[in-house]
Amino acid sequence: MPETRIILEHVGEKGSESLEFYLGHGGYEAAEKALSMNPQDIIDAVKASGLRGRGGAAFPTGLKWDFVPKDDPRPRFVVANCDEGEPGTFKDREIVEKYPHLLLEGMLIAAKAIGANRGFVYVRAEYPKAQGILRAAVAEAERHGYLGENIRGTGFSFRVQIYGGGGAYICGEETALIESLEGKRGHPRLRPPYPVSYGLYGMPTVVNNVETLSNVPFILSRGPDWYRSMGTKDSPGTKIFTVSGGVRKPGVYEFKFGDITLRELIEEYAGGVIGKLVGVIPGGLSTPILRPEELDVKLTCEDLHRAGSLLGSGAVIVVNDAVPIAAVARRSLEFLAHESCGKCTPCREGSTWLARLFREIELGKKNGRIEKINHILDGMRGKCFCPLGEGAVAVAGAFINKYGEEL
Amino acid sequence: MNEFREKIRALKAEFPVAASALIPAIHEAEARFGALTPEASAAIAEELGTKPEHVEAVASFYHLIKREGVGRFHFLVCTNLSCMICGAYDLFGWMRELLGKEPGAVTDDGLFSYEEAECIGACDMAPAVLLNGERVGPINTREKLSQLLEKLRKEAGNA
Repeated sequence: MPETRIILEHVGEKGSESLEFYLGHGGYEAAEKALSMNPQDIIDAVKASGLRGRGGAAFPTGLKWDFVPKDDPRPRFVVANCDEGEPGTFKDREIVEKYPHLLLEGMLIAAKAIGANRGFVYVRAEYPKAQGILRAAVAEAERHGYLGENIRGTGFSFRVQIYGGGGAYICGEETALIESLEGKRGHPRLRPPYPVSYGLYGMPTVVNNVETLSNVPFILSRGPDWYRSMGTKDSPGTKIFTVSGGVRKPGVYEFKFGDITLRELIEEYAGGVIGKLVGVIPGGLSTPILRPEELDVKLTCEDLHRAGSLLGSGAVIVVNDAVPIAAVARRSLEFLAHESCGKCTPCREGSTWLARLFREIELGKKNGRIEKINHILDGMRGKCFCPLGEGAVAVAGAFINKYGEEL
Repeated sequence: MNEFREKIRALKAEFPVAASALIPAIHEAEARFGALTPEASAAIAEELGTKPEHVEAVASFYHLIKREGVGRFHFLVCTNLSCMICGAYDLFGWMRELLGKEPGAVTDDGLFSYEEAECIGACDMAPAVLLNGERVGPINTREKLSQLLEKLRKEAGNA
């Protein structure tokens, strides 16, 4: 099956980051339509499309928007999550650096739908170039009346600010991101209440991933039925995959959900494996690894879930024999230990111990280590405050269960 | 410092709540002074109506906020999975060898420093670095790194 480039169609063409280019390719037409619509009709269209969050949790986007309290006088906020810290992921980078107006248009539609007049793009510290491009795009959109006060003479106002993070993986978690936006350490909040009712400054806030918001203009202009005609019942639309690691052609690929398998993506599009294939991490570092014999799985949320892993952010990391699998396991847990925010004990202590034990295994001290790891996993499982710690449990468990003898 | 204070006040005015200007103010300090210095922390605290300890507490949470000065060319060397698979540990070793310094230290001429980093989102050009915020890669041979360092030395010499 060939690629279906919806979001990426014009990404990377000459001048694609400019407003002029964007307007020349139908840009802001969906927003103009949305600005004349009843907000509930916008929400219903996104709900009907079946769009699910692309940051990793796959939560239905329209439902999230619908949860924002309706008869509530408090100001609301739209926040685009461009923290993109999941190792192996660089899809949002492609959108915001090369086609920033697509994100801004998606945010504007979301703002109209939930009645927000202020929005933020939270961009990770590692992407200063993206921050600059986004700031320029916002200024350009404001100059031409696509953002700011009284947009297109409709009376609707929406101001977007670009906010640079400080370098913390956990800030990709939406409540930690909100804390960071409030000028604090990025510790996740207890949920509920969810950000839709108690978010930024305690106000109703929708936090959506960049790729998620970038789908919205297409849903508005072409309709939910068109959107649903792509992908599967549970995973409609297209998904951007980033392939990296031990492959010949690392890069960004967009497919309809379910059109191809993980093996096809690697072998037919990413140029095949360099050296000997050892495993594939299908959705970014925090998703459980799959063995070479498990790769004939269709790329959908539901199929990867059934295969015991997750679609995550769509970041496919191909693990070959360039480094020992024990080193891959150790480095994965080292990352999670490093990025554990320290708020809850099971994650803070557990991830640190896991990293240490995997390092010992890598150094050849295997005696009793796997038993110890399993003991620590029992102490963490279901007890961590946020998905980072639970992710560490799943990731460590997969390395132990699938490669126990080979570590 | 007065200009810096003015900038903080401007940042403060951009946000619905002043506290949100804290991290942008810290970035401003890094841009002006090369790091979040104790004087900068004190100025930020005063302008935002908080304590320097709070500024430090927030800053210390974030890995990329610079608390000490770095070289004119600062390398964040990614060693996360995709870069590691493509040879990041070799690159890290060449860094140490060619610069003759441990991670975090600045070369005697003030030009270079480097540190290990988590994923920088440049997995399609692994093994990659962020060089003063710009993605560079793949740096998969010692020769490539050596040429890059030479180019930067020339750049510094011409300036």
